[in-house]
Amino acid sequence: MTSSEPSLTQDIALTPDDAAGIADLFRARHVDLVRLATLLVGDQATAEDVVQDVFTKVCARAEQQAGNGIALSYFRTAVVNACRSVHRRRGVARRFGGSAEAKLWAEPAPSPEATVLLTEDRRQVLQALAALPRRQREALVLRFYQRLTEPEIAQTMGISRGTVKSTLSRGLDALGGKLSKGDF
Amino acid sequence: MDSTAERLTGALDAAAETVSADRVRPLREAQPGRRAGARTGTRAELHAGARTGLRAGTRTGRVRWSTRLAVVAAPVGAAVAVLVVVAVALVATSGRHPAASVAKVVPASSAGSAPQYYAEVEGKMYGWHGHDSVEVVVRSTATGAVVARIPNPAIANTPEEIPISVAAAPGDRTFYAIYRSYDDTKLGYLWVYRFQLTASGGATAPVAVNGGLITGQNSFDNVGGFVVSPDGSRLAVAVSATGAPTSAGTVAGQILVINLQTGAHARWHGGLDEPGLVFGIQSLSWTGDSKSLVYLGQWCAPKYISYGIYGGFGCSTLGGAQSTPQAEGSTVVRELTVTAAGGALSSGPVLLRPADSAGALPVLVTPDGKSLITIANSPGDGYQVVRISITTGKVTNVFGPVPGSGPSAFLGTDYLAADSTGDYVLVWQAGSSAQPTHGWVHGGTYHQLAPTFADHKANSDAWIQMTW
Repeated sequence: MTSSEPSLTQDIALTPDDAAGIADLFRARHVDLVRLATLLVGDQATAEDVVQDVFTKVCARAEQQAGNGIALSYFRTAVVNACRSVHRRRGVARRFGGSAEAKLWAEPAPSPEATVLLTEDRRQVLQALAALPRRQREALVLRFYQRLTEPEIAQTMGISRGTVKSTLSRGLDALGGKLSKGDF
Repeated sequence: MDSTAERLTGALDAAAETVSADRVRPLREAQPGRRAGARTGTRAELHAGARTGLRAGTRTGRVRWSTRLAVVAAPVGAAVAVLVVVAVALVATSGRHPAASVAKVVPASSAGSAPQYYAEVEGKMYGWHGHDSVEVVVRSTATGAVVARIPNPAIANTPEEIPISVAAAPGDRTFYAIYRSYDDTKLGYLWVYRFQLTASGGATAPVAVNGGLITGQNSFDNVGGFVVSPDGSRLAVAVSATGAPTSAGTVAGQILVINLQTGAHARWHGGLDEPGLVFGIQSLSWTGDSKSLVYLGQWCAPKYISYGIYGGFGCSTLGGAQSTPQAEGSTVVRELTVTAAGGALSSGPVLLRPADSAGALPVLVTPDGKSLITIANSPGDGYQVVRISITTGKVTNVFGPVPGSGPSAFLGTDYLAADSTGDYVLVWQAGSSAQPTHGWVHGGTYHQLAPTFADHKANSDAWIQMTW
């Protein structure tokens, strides 16, 4: 009885019968959700905290959600929203001189994996991405990492399909501009 | 896709890959109804706990969300709950202190629950070196239902391979299994594979681990322990002496640590050899900080060695046709600090020197590194899984009894495996069919696990090794 690991991008309908089932489904997606959060907040430690918080909230509401059917997009949206909160908190912390976790693209690399996988060009792309407005950054991550469709991105971000389209277009243009100028 | 989009896709995929599944901090369980707002402390506090002690103590993430509170409250609770009743003799003496007696205690109650799943190597054994049918199976602790059966990997030019041991990694979903071959041309080889449970109720196919090929083993392929570090970065296995087809090479007398990121090997061997005796390792466990290993070693005259099922060995007069076998040899429990360079087995301190008459009863270290979990034979109570303080040598907790554990206890066929908290302990007798010790202990109670096979007694089927 084997199967390949389903991709995070498969928005399979999840219909657990009980609260424990919802928690199990979340656990099965744990690493994928941490990866998504890492791309949005820039470091794994914060991403792990974000996903842990979401997990706690999901479990707290699981009894109400059980039997209603939950889609993977529910978890994804919760993580994206939690990442927004992180950025808001960081904004406050920066005003009071707080420091953030070392970012993926930092030198020296924050982990052996980052050293191996993140070439100079990739670090520049990630830096440029981080410098974009929040909405553009989210849309680009959901499109080019999650490979979501425009309707799926709209659902996840809570915006219209038209806004997704324009945000992606402007985001790519802005990213390309930053990369060509070295402005990041 | 234009070049910007391509560069972005490549960078995002690579950045996501830096988040290795083995290094993601496990989820802590959330108590039903408890809101995220109940999270205590600042981010800095949470990180301090998560990156050091808390992470170490939550290897599989099954500790409840209230861990922080429990850490503070536990000593107080234990002091109230633990009631010293009467002192009894225990067949062990501490290596760090002279205490030779211990106190029998009433089990302390403990919050939490047993891990949801356990994995085991299950076998239908039809004969030594025969065509056994052995596989890794993941089961539900509550029901015994099969969650996943892991097909033995297809190893090139190796027609028959079977698992020897399985080990749970952090995160509750990832497991490692070590395989050997029946193929005569592949004797002395071991292969380490990894698999993961999936959301769909199955498991991924086993994937070869970087650095997971172990060569030069004696043909018995004994494995005296197989455990993943709590941080998921390394895997330790007790293996036989390499390239030495002598009696000294027939038992697991070395410790190999595989760096799961780089595939590099570090080996600990030597330093405890005694003339005319074989030194083998029976138990292996990590401290919660992933910095140290604790092992049980035994010196045994070759004529007293008997072999366990696919791993481990006993040292007794069993082979001498005596009606009541007696334990032979002497044992020691030692600690090693794990470094990239390896070293001598004697490089760390002695934690415990069990009495010779006890035989090689299994020993694990608790996540905090302060206690040992072992089996003790208390007069009147029989064999019990207990926790012993390394500092005082006293029993501080009784996990539960070990039914069926009797004369075979010193034959090297009894095993223990603790969960990440050190509160729930699997106990089994490898190959046991007549007396199916196959369960877990906690809070003073033994919980029998479901039979591996409905007719396991009739067919001499058996479980071999377990983990959670």
